[in-house]
Amino acid sequence: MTDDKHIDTLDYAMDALDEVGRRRADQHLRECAQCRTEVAELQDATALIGESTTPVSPPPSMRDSVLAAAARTPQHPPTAQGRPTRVEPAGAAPRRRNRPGQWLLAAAAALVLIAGGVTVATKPWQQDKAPVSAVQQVEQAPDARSTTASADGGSLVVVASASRGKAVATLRGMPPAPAGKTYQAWFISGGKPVSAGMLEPDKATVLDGSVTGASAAAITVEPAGGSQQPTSKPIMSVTLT
Amino acid sequence: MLVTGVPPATMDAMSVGEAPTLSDLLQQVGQGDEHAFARLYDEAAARLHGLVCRVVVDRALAEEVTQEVFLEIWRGSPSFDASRGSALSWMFTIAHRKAVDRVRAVDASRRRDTTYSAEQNAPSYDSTAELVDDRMRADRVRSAIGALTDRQREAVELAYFEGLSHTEVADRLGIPLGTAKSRIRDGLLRLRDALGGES
Repeated sequence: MTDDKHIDTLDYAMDALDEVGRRRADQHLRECAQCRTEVAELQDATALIGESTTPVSPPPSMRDSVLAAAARTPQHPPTAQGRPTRVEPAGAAPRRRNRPGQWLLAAAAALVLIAGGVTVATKPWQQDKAPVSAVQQVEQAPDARSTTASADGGSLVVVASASRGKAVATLRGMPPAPAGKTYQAWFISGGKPVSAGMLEPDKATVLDGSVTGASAAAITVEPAGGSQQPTSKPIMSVTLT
Repeated sequence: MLVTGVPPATMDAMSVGEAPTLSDLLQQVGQGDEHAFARLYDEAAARLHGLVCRVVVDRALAEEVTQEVFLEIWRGSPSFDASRGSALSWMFTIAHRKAVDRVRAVDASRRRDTTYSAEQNAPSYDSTAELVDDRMRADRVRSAIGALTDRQREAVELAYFEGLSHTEVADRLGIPLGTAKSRIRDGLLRLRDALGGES
């Protein structure tokens, strides 16, 4: 469908949407059975094209890595939609979405971990409709801008909204941080790094602090729990001007 | 092939008599069953990696992506609903999305510099490891794709394998956007119909 009200199911099924577009579509799909059905039908077809490719055996070592990674990785709770979607915030299950404010508690809990303890400045937004996550608040802002940096086979996507004063960061294609380490985000303001919270791969996270006045965002690998100041060189950074 | 790590008893139970379908395995994985996950990996790794290699091209990158794909399968498996589609479709959807995301993230020139060669990537997987319900399906899929018109196949493959947006497909083929989209959509629907109701 290409109505204003509906998503472009073809773009969605072919993975032709960018980060923000896909997240918007995911939100719509949770509410629209018609689009969900269309997407499911198209995805059955797209998967067939995938099946038509010649199999390639991965290196034998991959098996152990994959199984070991699974053994230490918790599974997501089931989603009602039954299709793989990137559902954030922070592992929120559908039942949680019905309780607005839960994500704020989760965000607050996460902030406690951050050295230097920063006050949560965000407010609960209107709860008149389906609760909208903090991530969506930023990504769906009219002035949201997406910037991507790549390195080491991974990428950092930062969606910033000047009007909201916030940014959402997602690490893509990165392995989990090594044992005893964490990925930490930083805003660079006036040439100085200010902690913007911890990141986990493939999880869109609202960065702590304000994007206002920040010229760049960067990611470093820090000891678990995070650091007051970066102790290593950034693995990736994006310019925010 | 590659069954280390799975207790022999499990393998026997699974390989004698009724072979579990991928759907069975994926549902077991959704219960947190690591043995089922190992078995699922053995059954699906070469196929998913084949798709990832086709899209990502760079071998080292493709291997990273395939690992992510399996981790995502592990994490997301509790949401798999066999009544909504096949296990293979579910897994290929994840694999394609991860592969396309990665391609978009890396420098496009890096990708173009490398030439994909299906011959070099000849499968070395043991066909006896293929599951019963998928053997016939592979044949049907190939014939279904053969049933597309050349124009449909061209548009669908550009969008799917190259990770191109529909606008880019239209540009590449020198056709209007609407035409590109209808070729892709018609091609997909024809594929689906050819495999009618199978899941």
